Amino acid sequence: MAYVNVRGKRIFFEEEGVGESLVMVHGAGQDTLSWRFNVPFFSRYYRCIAVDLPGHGKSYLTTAYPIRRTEEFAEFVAEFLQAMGIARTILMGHSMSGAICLMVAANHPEMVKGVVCVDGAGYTAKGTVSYNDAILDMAELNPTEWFESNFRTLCGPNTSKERIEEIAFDVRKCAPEVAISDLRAFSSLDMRPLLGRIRCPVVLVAGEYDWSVRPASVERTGQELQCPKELVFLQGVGHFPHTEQPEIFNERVHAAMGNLKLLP
Amino acid sequence: MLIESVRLERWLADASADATLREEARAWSALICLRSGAEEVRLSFKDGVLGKGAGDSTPAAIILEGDPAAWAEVFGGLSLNRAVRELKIGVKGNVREAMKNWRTLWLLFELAHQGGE
Repeated sequence: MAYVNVRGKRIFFEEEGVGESLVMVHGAGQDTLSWRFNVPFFSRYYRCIAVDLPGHGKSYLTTAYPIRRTEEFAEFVAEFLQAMGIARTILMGHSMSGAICLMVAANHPEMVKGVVCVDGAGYTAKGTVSYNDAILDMAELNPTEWFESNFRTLCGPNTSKERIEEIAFDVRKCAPEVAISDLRAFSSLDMRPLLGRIRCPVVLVAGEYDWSVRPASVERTGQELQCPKELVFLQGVGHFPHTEQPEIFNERVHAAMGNLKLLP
Repeated sequence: MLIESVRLERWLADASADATLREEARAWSALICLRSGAEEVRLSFKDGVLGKGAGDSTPAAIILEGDPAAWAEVFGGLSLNRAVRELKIGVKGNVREAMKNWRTLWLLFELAHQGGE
């Protein structure tokens, strides 16, 4: 079993492959399992390390309450890298964690060689992701079923029913208080002032049918980045391209990483 | 018009025949009101079976409200979650009851999409 202590608390990670590291951070309500179709591919090139954020999967909480701010998640990721002895890495994050990885790159440029931001954006505050306080308060009454029904309808039309069932099943395992805290973090993010500070290459991934982090939001994030970047637009998929259509995702993202000289 | 009667009948039949929804709603009794301005369609769940709700002055437990265009989108395939997040459909009345049974409500409206096919 692979655990490391961060802030004195047990943090779980999965590791596969050797060489330069690629640290993978799951999205809201999820855990390392969300990278199960990607680690076997990327571990042919990198030392892949998928981490469970505090309170998710097999990781314990590192604070008294679940983290509710993207900034805190970003500091956790930086501390996790330190605890793992990783001085510099490529970060891959999905949705909420796409922004978390961008934030680590902005705040700790020496630690980040590149970022792959999967269906994430630098601005997901209430206006852009269709959340307001009333809807968040409503979701807090039953975050598990709210997340599950959201996730089911966030998949694209080409995604098999079986894969959608897997995505829905996986999110039901997240503790409700953690899930709603993720949602609060996600829906309060505005890191636009930080985007210009990012110097490392960034791959931005957008799913055609993602109505939560819309392709337009991803494109806007790309326009505000001053660093080398490449947008990977994936047709037929929704908010979970790495799980919905992993073969296409892996090949397209790998190619984009090559274009940005992020291959070992 | 909020929903055509032919489509409503088809929806009720589909919902009552759907094993997943019946299981979800097995122990739930609720009066649900779909509202658009002065127009209302009342539905009731009892022992997992969906039927037309009482048309009297009994207050509805759960009210889902939107304009006719929003309802047309919902019955045309827009998911209930997306409709709520995009502020096209509002959840009113006993919001707690609605959220505690959100998966059932969501499933119900997924069947509404199929009802028009």
